[in-house]
Amino acid sequence: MKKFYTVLLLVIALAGCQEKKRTYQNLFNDPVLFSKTVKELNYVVMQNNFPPIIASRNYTYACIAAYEVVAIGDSRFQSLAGQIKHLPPIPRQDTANVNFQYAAILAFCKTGEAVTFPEGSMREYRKKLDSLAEVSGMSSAMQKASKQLADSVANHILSWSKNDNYAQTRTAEKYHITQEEGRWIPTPPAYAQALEPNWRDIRPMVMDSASQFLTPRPPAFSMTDKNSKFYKEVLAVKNAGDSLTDEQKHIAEFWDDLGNRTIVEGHVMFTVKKFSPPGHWMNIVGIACQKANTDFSTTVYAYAKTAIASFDAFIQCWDEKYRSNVVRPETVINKYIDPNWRPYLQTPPFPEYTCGHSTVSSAAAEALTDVFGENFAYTDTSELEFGIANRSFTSFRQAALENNWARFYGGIHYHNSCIISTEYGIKVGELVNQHLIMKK
Amino acid sequence: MTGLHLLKTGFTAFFLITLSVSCSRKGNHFKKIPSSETGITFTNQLKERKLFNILYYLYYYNGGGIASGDINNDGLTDLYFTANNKGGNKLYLNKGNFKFEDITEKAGVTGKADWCSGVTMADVNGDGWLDIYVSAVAGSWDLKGHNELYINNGNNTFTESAAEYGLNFSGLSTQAAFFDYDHDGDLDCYILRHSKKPHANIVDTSSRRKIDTLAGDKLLRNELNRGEKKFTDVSKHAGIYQSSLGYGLGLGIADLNNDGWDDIYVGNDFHENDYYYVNNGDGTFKESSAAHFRHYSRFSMGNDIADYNNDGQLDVVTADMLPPDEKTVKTYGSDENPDIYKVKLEIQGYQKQYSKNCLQRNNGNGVSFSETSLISGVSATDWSWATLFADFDNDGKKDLFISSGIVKRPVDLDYIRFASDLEMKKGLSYTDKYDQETIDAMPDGTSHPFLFRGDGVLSFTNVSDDWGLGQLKGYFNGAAYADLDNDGKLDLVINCLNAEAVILKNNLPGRNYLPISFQGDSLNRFGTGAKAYLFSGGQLQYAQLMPTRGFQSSVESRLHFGLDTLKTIDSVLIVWPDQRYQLIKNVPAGKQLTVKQNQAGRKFNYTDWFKPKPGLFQQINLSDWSHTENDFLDYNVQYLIPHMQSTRGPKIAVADVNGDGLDDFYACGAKGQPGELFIQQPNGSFRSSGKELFEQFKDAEDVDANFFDANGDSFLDLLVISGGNEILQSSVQGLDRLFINDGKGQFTKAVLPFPNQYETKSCIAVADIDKDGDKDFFVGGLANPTSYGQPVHSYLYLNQGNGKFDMATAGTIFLQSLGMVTSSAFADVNNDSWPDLIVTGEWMGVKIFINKKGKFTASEIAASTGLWQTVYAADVNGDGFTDILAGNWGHNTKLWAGKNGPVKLYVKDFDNNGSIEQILCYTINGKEYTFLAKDELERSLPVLKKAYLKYSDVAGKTAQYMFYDLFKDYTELKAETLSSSCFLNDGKGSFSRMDLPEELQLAPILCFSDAGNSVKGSFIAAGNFYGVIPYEGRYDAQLPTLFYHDPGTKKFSTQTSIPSFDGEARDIKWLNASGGKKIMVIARNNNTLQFFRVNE
Repeated sequence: MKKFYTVLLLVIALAGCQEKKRTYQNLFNDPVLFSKTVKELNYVVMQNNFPPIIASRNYTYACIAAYEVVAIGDSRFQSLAGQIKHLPPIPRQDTANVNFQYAAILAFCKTGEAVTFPEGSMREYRKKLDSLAEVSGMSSAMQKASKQLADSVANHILSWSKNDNYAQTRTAEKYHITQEEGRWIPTPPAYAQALEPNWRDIRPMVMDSASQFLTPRPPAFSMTDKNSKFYKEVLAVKNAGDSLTDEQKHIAEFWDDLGNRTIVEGHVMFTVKKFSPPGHWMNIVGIACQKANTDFSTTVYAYAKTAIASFDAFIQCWDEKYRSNVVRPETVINKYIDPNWRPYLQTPPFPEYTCGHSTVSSAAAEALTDVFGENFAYTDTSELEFGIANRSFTSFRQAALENNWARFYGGIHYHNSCIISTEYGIKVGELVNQHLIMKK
Repeated sequence: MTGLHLLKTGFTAFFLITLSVSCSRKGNHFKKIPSSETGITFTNQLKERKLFNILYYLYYYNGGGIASGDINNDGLTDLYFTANNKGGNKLYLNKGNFKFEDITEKAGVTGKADWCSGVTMADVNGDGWLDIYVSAVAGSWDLKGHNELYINNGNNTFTESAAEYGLNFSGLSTQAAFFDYDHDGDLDCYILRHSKKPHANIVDTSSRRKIDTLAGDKLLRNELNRGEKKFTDVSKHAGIYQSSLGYGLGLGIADLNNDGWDDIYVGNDFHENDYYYVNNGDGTFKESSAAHFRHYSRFSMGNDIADYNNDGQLDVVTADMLPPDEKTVKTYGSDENPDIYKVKLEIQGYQKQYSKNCLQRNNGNGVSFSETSLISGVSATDWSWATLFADFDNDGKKDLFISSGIVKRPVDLDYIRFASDLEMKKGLSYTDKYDQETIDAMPDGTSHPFLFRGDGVLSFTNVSDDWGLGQLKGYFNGAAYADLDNDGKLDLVINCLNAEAVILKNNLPGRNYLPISFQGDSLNRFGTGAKAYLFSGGQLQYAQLMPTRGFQSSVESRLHFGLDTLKTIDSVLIVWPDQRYQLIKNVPAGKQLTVKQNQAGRKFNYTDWFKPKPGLFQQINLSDWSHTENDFLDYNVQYLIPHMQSTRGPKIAVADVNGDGLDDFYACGAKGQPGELFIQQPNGSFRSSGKELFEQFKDAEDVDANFFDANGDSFLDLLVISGGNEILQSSVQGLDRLFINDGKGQFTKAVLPFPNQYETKSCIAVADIDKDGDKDFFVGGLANPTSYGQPVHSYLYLNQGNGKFDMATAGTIFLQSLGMVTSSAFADVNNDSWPDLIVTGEWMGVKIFINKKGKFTASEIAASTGLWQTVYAADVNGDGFTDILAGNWGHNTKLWAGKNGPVKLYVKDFDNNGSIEQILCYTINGKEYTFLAKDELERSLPVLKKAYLKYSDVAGKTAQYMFYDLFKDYTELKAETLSSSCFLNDGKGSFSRMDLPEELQLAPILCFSDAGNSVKGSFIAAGNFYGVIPYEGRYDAQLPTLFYHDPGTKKFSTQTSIPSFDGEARDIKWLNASGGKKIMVIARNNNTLQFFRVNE
């Protein structure tokens, strides 16, 4: 369904360009077109049920491919080769007759398609781009040269991506369920298996290892000692959930970003889909770029940096999740306090500590602050298509801070975990900002 | 990536038209009589209601029911249908010859409830006229009404009197049954209800004690015997669960344990297991399911209780929703993985349940039930409702009817994962604007009713097509059988959704029959609950009169027996609900027998008539030691292995280690648990010995142990080998150990006198293979813990005479990459006095290594590949040659049921990611299909997601199609037979395979033994295996069973079994005890040892 929708958008864009006689130059040198392309991948990810951290990997490789084309064509930017883990230099080639914007978008699509499924997930979209190039007067020589560059960069990125251990982690040992108190077990209603217990083995981009930033130990499990930190954290989740204001509910829903919400009614089971946390932040990048009116290259740069920060943030967080294997509030409250208690949001299927969304949000916010500056106010319209009202922020960091309350209001995290996650997400974001020299 | 493109293009070129080869569905033994002839135009038409459809009410498509009974006592069975809409119920008076008259209005039985579900007929007020009790769903979704009781005025009119009798319950009722639970002469009432709670959040079973007023079941005592028109709610006192955990869809009342008191079996949908309320005879019940049933249908719908195998014991059948065809079953999914199953069911206190129809064979007085639906051929009839046992062809063996079909399949995987979201976004938010689109996206679940012909023993044959039911299409819910035209053959009536009810006239060829009707002399005028036993020519038939059966329906108040060619029945024993009985001799066939309670005599004593066979084995408690399996799930490492390999223990080694003439034994410990040596004391008890010694090796999983004299000092030393299918984490874990005996039963660990193989091993066999006077031994290798399916080495160690061992060279015996060995034995199979070696394993043939003066020549018995678990060498048929008993996977499995070719395992790193995948396939009509659906396969092989987004893309397609160009260069393993077998030796070096009896194919057989001093010449087999995924369903139906080969008939027969046995048998050994007695020990995985003495 979504595919038709975007295709339609492009046709409208095409019709528009014919009216105004837009040339291929101004048609492809359009940061909004790049944002639309990222969103297209976002829909592929959403429709085909990719979990959030795999989604993060999908965006990151696709964004890097686009960025590397930009770095060849725009002398203000420099390649990530040698800066991110083991990315070899991009092979030099003749770029005399290349339209770099078109090539960047194609490289993004090719890479995005390769790391997702089904086969040809962006084929229709690519065809439309090709016909846009054709109709807007791009010479076939230029089309060919641009495609060659896109293919060459995308292939380079893909062959580099093959060594990130992703394939190996597909069949690595799964999370083991025991009845140990305080240890995570699957949660209702889907009772899904723990997602990606071996994600720490994925090669980070900038961090030296998954455990470069080791978080403090979580509070020790105790439901007998009412003065224990753990007990108080649990009670705080329950109390907050029992008396949510409309504003708090809005905040929780706004940052829900659960790719697949399972609903069970008798034998009827179905899923309701939304963007994932990294998908949401990719959308925020687009909003910021539009507001700041950035040019094409800077837009691609903003996406790439944000994606890389999110990618490493997930690795940092997942390393801790399967070190501490902390039980979710829902499980504890149901067992010890109230069997009928439900969190406002649906609990995602992995251990609680630390919070993935808070970690990624603050890492992404650091990257975006680096690109757009500290007090960049914006209105986030990402959730409107899922029926959730917009929220406005004075800065990216403010948004990240709100996120850490959102997970607490949602009843899926202890607030202590969110605070720590924000702190460690910032560390990852700062490292990315310090380490990567993208803009010369 | 190129491979995938190939994959894609390959499909278009390789498009297979797999039109279902529709067999000739032409049989017409059951002829549909059109409504134009019958006058029965009843249609259960669903009507649109606001905010009410399948998205709101989980049982929206459950349909209505039928009550059949003679309401005007004219000898013709009349019919009452319920509808899911107000005023839709119908009562038809039978005018004979399949003509019916709609007297609903005249009779005043239209009904006021908005949604009627079940219906039953019973003489509630004891006046000799059948009354009608209609159950209603009300109190939610704006549905109004209550259960309705129509008291028969005796003139074809009725008066609704539910309130007067206290039976006007308003709630979520499914069905009711009337029976005399307290033997006070009147008919009490059980009301089955169902929860509407979404089952998303599964609560602990402790919540069963919380009462839910809408959904909780009720037991009501009729006060008629005290002259009152009143029912008293005794649910709580009687011990009936009344909580919202119960999704009661099936109700069966019967005396399952033959104690004269009627018990209650409740079928529960979803995670709640079925309830088995045993009547204590004092007005109370005890829910005792866990003690008697091993597993249940996961989504239990209707049920029936009857004696289908003519052994005088009532059996249970429950309906579920497993699809029978490849295409549908593969979009239905592979069930939960073991971890999730554990969290949802086991941790919360629920018992094991699997999505399939369950056929629970009563092993005698309800002590235990063996679930045999797969071997019996009745496990999969799609989305099913009513199950009814009845003898439709009058051959004296009950057949099985199952109704099936649902308007929409909400469990379709593609719907859940993809389609639902498109339509569902705005659903369930106080508007039904989008509901229709959502519902339209669900696939249709049209089916046909099923009929299975019973063989009176264990098996049923699907005769749906032959008998004319296969051609019907639609949604078939409640059903009843009745002889509508009194021609001596049972006809069928089915209530359908959105279509006219179906009336099927039975035109099967005539055979003899006997209907029995009952005249009670008290308030139970129709004899509800009475039992009839027919004895003739050494044959038995048994039935209990209980109209409420199947699903939301009731059958006529008389019993029907098929008699085949029998013209006269020797004797008919009638036992009335008050337990008085009468015996009627020489009853002629073909004429209705009316039995009268006032002719009954003395109180019936069950054991006077059915002498308890003295148990051959008497269980005794000699040790509390329990094998404790460590918490390891093989599936977490190897996602796709067919079954676990780490739960094969414990084995037992037996020897008299201290020379006192009494046998001692060593029990193998699992990882984390030391093995333990037990010394038999003169008083027959066992004392643990050498604890500190064995404690040092507790990190090793003992997989086999053997006592033999290793060092030539004539004392029996102990060899223990390790395995367990876990990746080794310490050197102790894989360590083999030899313990030297000082002759007094004190052991010390020897420096290992042979090279230790740090591999997963399985078995030891000991013999002096080179006749040099010392003991040599063989060690079988099981599997690599990360690459199951790849053959591993086994080893032969030769004793140098001084207790040191050399590994035999390939010239002596070639054991490299022998396979996945599970069991071995030395025996002289060619009578040349040299011990030959028999070895087998999973996906292996039975291999015979012929010993030619110390050198072995290998051969394999032709067509013998299987999933072999154990071999036992003995002269089974007494002809002087060594035969082989071999335990296999059995027939009570999805790998056998409905399949007709080899089971295969394709092994390879299919996606080139460095780990080995195993693709288990079975064969149907020469085509191979993966055992698992895409949802499970793609967890290990994400490449499948890349090639196929939708489950329906490959559902019903062959493995070769699904894997296309990836399907090459694999290791192909196969099992040509899954039958536990005996290989009979002709003495010329040739073995021929014979299946052991079906009684021994109920689960994998893991151990054999001789029958000790119980029955000479017999053998005993035992097994069961739980280490499988829930979709395969654990194997728990096999009782330890004694059997023998009759040299006269050249056939195997079973003798006695141990019905109380529960668990996974892993070893059977006999111990010599004091006074020349023998004790049998059965070792069970993760459980205590069971000891038995032979009753003499």
